[in-house]
Amino acid sequence: MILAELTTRAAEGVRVEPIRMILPLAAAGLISVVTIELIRRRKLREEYAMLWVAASAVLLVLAAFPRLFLTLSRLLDVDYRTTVMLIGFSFLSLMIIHLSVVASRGADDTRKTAQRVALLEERLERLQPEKQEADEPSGTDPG
Amino acid sequence: MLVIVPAYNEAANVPAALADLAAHAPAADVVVVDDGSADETAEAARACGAKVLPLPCNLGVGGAMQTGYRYGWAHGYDVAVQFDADGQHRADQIAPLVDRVVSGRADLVVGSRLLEPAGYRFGVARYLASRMLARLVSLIARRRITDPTSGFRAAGRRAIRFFAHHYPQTYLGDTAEALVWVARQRMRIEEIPTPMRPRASGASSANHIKGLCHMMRITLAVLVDCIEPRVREEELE
Repeated sequence: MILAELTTRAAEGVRVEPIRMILPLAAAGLISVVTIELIRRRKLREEYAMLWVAASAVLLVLAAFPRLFLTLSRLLDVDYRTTVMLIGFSFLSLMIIHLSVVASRGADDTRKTAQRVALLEERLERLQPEKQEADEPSGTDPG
Repeated sequence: MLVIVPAYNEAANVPAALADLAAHAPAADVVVVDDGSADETAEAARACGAKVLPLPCNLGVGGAMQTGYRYGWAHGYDVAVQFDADGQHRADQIAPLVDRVVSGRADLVVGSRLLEPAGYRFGVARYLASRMLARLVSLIARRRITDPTSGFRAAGRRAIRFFAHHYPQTYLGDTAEALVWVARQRMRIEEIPTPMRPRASGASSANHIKGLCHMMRITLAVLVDCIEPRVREEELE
């Protein structure tokens, strides 16, 4: 496999002790479990479900194969940990900004709907007495 | 003429405000926007014979006010007056406000508490912050505005249409932002001195630090408004 070959070549001589894999694996596992559980309970809409499934899959793969991460960082020529963190943080920020936009749009829609409901309710109230009067001549109202 | 009275949990004050309106502005149609109150605000207003627009959830002053403007625009009113339910605004001051709109002198007329010593007092911190905000809004509006947070206003047809489609939703900042938006649309704003009463009851934002924070939020919101594109009014329905 090309990937495996690349991994071994780029991260040659680097050994990640199993004990240091526990924390990343646990974190990635937790995120995956939470995502799957939310999807199972239908708390996540599909488009976000896919987003988070993809994100947790990437995390899981990176946690399971730590040398892949090293390879990636060498391929991209970013050795500096801060840089790696910043790149990850930028991705997260983008996702959060996207969600803020979605939330704002949702709030806007709610406001417009509420306003229309209020206007319609007032209209209904204005129309209803007339309607009752119009209904009376038919004589269906029991005494 | 339409008088818009936004009310959130104001069942105790609404009857007095509506009685004031009935006494001093008998010709006006009054619509109370019940902003998802938990108390009997809507019932109290209906009992006084006012039309009620009951919002199913709490939207904040901006959302409630806009509901009133949407009503005003849909029903073809030429003038809409913003009137608080808490007893601060005086119905006998509506006439001079409306005159300026009807005579075509302005699209939006604001009743200012500060143009003349009208017996209204702020806290010191809030006073300074509001002075700064007034300066900023004056700068953007290119005319002197002394009381940008006054909610006592009359809007003409053009402003009603604009507000029905675009009204600022910032918490407690809707008044200042509405001024800036209207100014940026090149509408004409006028300010006239208006005496007001101190608030009857309900939570006032007299708390100094809180008041200062509000002012800073509003200032920031106003600055953001300056980088927003102008609205093409001819495209509004």
